[in-house]
Amino acid sequence: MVDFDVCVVGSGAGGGPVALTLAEAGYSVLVLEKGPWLTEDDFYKDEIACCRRNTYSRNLREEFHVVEKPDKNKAWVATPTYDGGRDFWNGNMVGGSSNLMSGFFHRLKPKDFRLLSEFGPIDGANVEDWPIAYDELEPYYAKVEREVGISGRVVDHPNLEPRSTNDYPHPPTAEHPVAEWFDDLCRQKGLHSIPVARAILSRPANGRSSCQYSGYCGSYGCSSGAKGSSRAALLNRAVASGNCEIRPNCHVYHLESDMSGRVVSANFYDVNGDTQTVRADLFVVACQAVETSRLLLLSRGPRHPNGLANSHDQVGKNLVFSGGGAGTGTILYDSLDAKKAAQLKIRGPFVNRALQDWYYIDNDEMGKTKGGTIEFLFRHPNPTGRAIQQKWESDRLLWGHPLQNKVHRYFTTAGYLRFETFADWLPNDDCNVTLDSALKDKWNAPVARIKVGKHPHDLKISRYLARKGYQMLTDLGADKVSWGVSSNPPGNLMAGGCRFGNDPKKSVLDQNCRAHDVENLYVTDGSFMPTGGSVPHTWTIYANAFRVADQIVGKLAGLGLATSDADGRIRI
Amino acid sequence: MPPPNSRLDRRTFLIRGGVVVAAATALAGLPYALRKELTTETSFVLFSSQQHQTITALQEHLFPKGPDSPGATDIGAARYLEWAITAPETDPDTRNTIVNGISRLQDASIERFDTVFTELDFMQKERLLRYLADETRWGRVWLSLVLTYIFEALLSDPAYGGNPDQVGWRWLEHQPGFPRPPTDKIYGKL
Repeated sequence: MVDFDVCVVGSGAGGGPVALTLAEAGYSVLVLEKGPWLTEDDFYKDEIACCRRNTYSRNLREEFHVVEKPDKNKAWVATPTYDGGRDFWNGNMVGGSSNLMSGFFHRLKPKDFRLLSEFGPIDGANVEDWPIAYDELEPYYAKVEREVGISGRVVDHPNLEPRSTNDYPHPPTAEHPVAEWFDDLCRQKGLHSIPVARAILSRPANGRSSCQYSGYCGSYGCSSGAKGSSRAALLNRAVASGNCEIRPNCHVYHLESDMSGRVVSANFYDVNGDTQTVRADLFVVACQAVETSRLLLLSRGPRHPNGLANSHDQVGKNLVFSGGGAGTGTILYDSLDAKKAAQLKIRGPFVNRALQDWYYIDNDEMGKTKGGTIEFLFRHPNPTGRAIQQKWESDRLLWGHPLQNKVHRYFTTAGYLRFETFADWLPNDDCNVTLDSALKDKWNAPVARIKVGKHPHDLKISRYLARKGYQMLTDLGADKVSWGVSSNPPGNLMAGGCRFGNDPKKSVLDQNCRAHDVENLYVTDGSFMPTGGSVPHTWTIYANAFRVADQIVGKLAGLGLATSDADGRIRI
Repeated sequence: MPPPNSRLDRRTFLIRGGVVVAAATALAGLPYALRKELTTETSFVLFSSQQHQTITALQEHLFPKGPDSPGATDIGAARYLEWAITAPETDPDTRNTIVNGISRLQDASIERFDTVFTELDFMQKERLLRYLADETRWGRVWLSLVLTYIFEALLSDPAYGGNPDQVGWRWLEHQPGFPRPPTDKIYGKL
């Protein structure tokens, strides 16, 4: 006897498509989410709540990670996140971090699915081809455009991926005048300006409002519902179907398996901290890469002594992030004519431009290699953080009128354009998730220890792309451009750890993202990705989760579990 | 990528004067005397009258009123600071750092000038603070922290008690986002 047909652990971009698809197919679905259930009524443009306090993440004294990275002498040093300057929680709430994303949406390209075949092996990197091809995911990329609601405009360019539809279902979001500056410059330079698709509604649809162009988007929850979070776009509809229940504030700490190796129940702490158990026919884990690997490693059972799906010690291996660099250009209003200065001061619309002219590189300097994407946008408008940065003059603390004059100049005399580069973070033996042997969270469970080794090849690519970004900002009129590349991982762009593949000895999941060695366990967040592509991951996570959801529907139908009201189900 | 002012951990906060992210754990790890102080006399009205005068004078020196700019008093810096470090989830270490810093400032003032900070003239204050920022680690950390809270008072939503009538936003020609938070939906009340 089970309580639900399917139990989904985690409600972000990996969990939402599964919950919606299965609920609409008539199966009973329970979604267990660690964080609270916030809605549009809880999201305001409040820098303190959003970005200067831990409103949307865990209390790091109670729930944290240990990050292991090389120091200046290349010795590995492990530091708990409560003491180390990094935070790998990205939005603990119903809908997960998709509530807080910027929603710059790009598809992977066909060659991203066969990186090893196309570009060959790289020493020290564990590159593998994907077990599926782009063509198999394309229908689901298109589905995400409709279901999540993607706004944009398709333009032809040398690296445009094949599409089954001519254009996006929603027209582009309002564009800032700077986008036209960018287009003009690209024409002059013979580059291909790409209007960036956004997971933001440009017009009302599916009961959601369109964007209000308040100028604050990334890192903020969306108060209009325009942002295509898993919650706003998918889970609300799943609940409305009558077949999906969401339980917020429920932290799953163990998946229990029986003597046959099947998962039979999820054990969790509820909002009161009391232990609860729920039984289901099938379990889907989508807690984001780090916590998904951690939960599987914690879920030992009689047939899984090293953790679920870990028969070949692959869980947690080959964690990847998005490699990259960034730069900010200062464009002085005084350097522009009156019309352009007025344009630069406009707040609200998006720049929405990217370059993929160097997605693949083949030249004397770099040889034939994979490159990446350069995104162009305004610097984040949060004022407090930008003001605080002004208090240092080199290494000297400023105050008084010198500080006030500097801050005033910073805010009133220039606009700030930014570029961000996205390149592969090559999977390697020094980037993984394990259970820390000493430190535990408030539930007395070992915390995840994240080793974040970066392959030097990625820095080389990032530097190449960043130089291109630097040149673009300079040519756009920036008085100065500060830029750099980093070996630190962006905690909000994580994938891998449970890669899918055809060889059970080298992968955790099969090509349908079912665990090789657990017949009723699926993983649908970004953990499945053997390589991450050179774009943000979210669109691919959404698409793959819809693809896997269809596979699960087929599996359940094959088991004869065709309706939500099958006899013997106990609803709680 | 996260914005430049993304959450900072306690150590980063203390070193760079960022904002605390590690929320308060139980006070159990603190010495009994301090625990008693924090939980009884000073939890909600943290500063004594003298401490309040000292921190107000310090903030006004660090962020003075000018012909075209608001000063610390105009932006409600002292009121905001007290809210910020008595908020329920504020790290006790941060709270402790601020309060102890006031005492250490007084000690340094008396040691160097034989009088309390509020009695110093402008140049004496400047010399003392420059010494603390450039020559002492605690002074550098503490003054950086005080400045961070001044900027939060200047540029956070008026719902938090600083930036009255959007004086900071208007001074810097900053366009806030919308919708703005009502007082019952600010940090700590969500």
